[in-house]
Amino acid sequence: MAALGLGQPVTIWHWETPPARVAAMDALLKKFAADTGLTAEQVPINFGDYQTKILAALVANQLPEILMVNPPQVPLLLERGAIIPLDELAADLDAKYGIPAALSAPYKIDGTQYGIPVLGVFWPLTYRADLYESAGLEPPATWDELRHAAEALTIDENGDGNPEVYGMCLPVSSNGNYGSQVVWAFLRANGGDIVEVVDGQQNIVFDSPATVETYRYLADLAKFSPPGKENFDWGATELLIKSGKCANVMYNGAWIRELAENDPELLAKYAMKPMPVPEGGQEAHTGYPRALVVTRAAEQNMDDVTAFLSWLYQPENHAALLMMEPGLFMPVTRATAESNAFLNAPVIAENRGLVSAQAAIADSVSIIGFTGATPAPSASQLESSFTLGKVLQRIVLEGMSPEAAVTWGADQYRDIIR
Amino acid sequence: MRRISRWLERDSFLATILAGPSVIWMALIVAYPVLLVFWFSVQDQATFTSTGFVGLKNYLFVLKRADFWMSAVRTVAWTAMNIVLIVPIGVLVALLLNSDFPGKRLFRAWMLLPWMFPIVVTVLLWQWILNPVAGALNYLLHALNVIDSPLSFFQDGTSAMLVVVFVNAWRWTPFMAVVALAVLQTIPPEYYEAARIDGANGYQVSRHITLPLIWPALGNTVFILLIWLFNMFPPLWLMTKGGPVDSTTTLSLLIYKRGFEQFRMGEASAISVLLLVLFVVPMALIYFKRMRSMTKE
Repeated sequence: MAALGLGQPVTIWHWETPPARVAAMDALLKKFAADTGLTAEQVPINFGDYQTKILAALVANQLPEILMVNPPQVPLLLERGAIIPLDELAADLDAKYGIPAALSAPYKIDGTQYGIPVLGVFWPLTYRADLYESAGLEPPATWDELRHAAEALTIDENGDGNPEVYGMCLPVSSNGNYGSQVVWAFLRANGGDIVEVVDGQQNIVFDSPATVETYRYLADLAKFSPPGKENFDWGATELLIKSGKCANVMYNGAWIRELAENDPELLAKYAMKPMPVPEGGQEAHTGYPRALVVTRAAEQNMDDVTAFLSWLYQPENHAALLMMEPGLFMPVTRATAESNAFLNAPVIAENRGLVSAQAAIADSVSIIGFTGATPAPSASQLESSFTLGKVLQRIVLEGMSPEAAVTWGADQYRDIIR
Repeated sequence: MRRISRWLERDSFLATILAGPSVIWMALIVAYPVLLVFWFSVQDQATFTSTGFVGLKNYLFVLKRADFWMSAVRTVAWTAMNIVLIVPIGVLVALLLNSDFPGKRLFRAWMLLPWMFPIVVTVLLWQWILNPVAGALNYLLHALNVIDSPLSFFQDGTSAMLVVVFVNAWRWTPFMAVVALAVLQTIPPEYYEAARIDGANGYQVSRHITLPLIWPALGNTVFILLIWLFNMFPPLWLMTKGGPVDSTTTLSLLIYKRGFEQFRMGEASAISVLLLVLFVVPMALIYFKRMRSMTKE
């Protein structure tokens, strides 16, 4: 319920519904009340329903004061005039705490800052360091090395014909976003893209030799991915990591806390590093600097909203926010990243290597539709179509040639932006 | 005056007064969204904005697309496969529950569990069971030497659709069984006694007494189930999101994808209206015709 005036709590919507994350957020909001005498409340909404709830609330004029968003959601909110500029506050927080421009940029539209990055979720290569060591291999830096390692580390320990560990847990999936997120990192590393915006017009650039080459490589790599790859989503992949079945996988740190609590021995076997690059390619990663945007509902109690945001970005409080899921949520301000509150927090302190590997790739993350100077107006639709994953499915599951599948994918994208 | 007084004394007047507010309320809450969908379907409607009236353009556009017809075929196949599983198995379970055997009450309660689980729980449960790497089914089949390598149930469109149909049928069969059991218990036991005296065997009793007597009531349930299945969204969405590629995308999923992922509300509304006109309305008309003929009988 949106606040109706002064003295009402500031309401924040987000999609971090696991109980531990909700509890951590509750503790943070209680501290806010204790520190300032003001109140704030959270409404956790399941990720699958988040977009639909926002659309419904927009129509009903029932948005909360603050929304957590990913970049693709901003053009949609802006189209409706639902969010307000935050230039002044963003500049103030940047001056105090240092927000890297690369993380703020996706939320700057036509020169106006509409969102302030609040936490980062970055997707490096996660690998079993112990298996690399016993195989006498170095962790891969190039696509060729990754392919070689994936083959070498697909291990059938008991000789029953079914590997116990798979060399590369590569999703060939359109069941949710994960399959497309993995393809996106490889595509960008090889110089491919989906859409460019020229003079305000969206142009699909997906059907390029770089895209075809990327898919040919991924189809080959998929041979070393476990059965079930055609339906992998985030949950299934986390299960594979937690059960130690992936020698390599592109994933964020969502699994770190649970392994730290339940299986520190397995956790110690995993390491992270930047995603391998093709010859002549560039380092590229999937990643989302999530932001907070302020809606028009806040105009009636803007002082409270500003007070909340100013309080939240103080390193001690900001670090507490990241502890909703330690190891997954990365700092987006330099002050927090360097603060004792973050560096000495449980899980973080014992796993500095995993954390710093994720933080190190922040500068090379990109998002579909946000690769140029101007965001693509259809960014959200392009991303949520999961076409990147479907194209890989057409090649691997249906036997279509990479050229034909990429042409099919480009047609899908053109249909979306028509 | 006398005429008004007579009218007021009629039972139909009291019934109208009592039911009227509910009927008006239901009409409003049903009519408003339906009319809105019709209105959107003739607009060039994005999520929030419309660039104006476009007549039948959305309908013609949708009808020309292969994805609409493919989804329509899948919708029919999905519905038919579910009915073929749910109805006979539900009736067989009901026949079993209608007989006497030790532990019958416990079995009745146990049998209802799949229907009582929330759909999300059902889907998660089956996803774990069917998981090729860590799932119980593959483990069991492998341990029994039935398979050499793990089965991937979502590897292609056909097997993915069959798996979701199976899971949905597993969930809905208890519903059918409960309805069938309720109907079975209305059959007077004298009919069975008379048949037994005449020397009828089990098959003859089922063929000539049980099925003819339960079918009229079950038929209505099957029609309602048909309409639900045509519009069903959660199991397919939760298990496959309509994939692999779009091979389990039925019309309900196509409407959602077009409306809430592509923000083309005009086209999504046109598909909704077509689903209503081409499939749901004919089935509803058949249902009402059946009801009318049954009432006359």
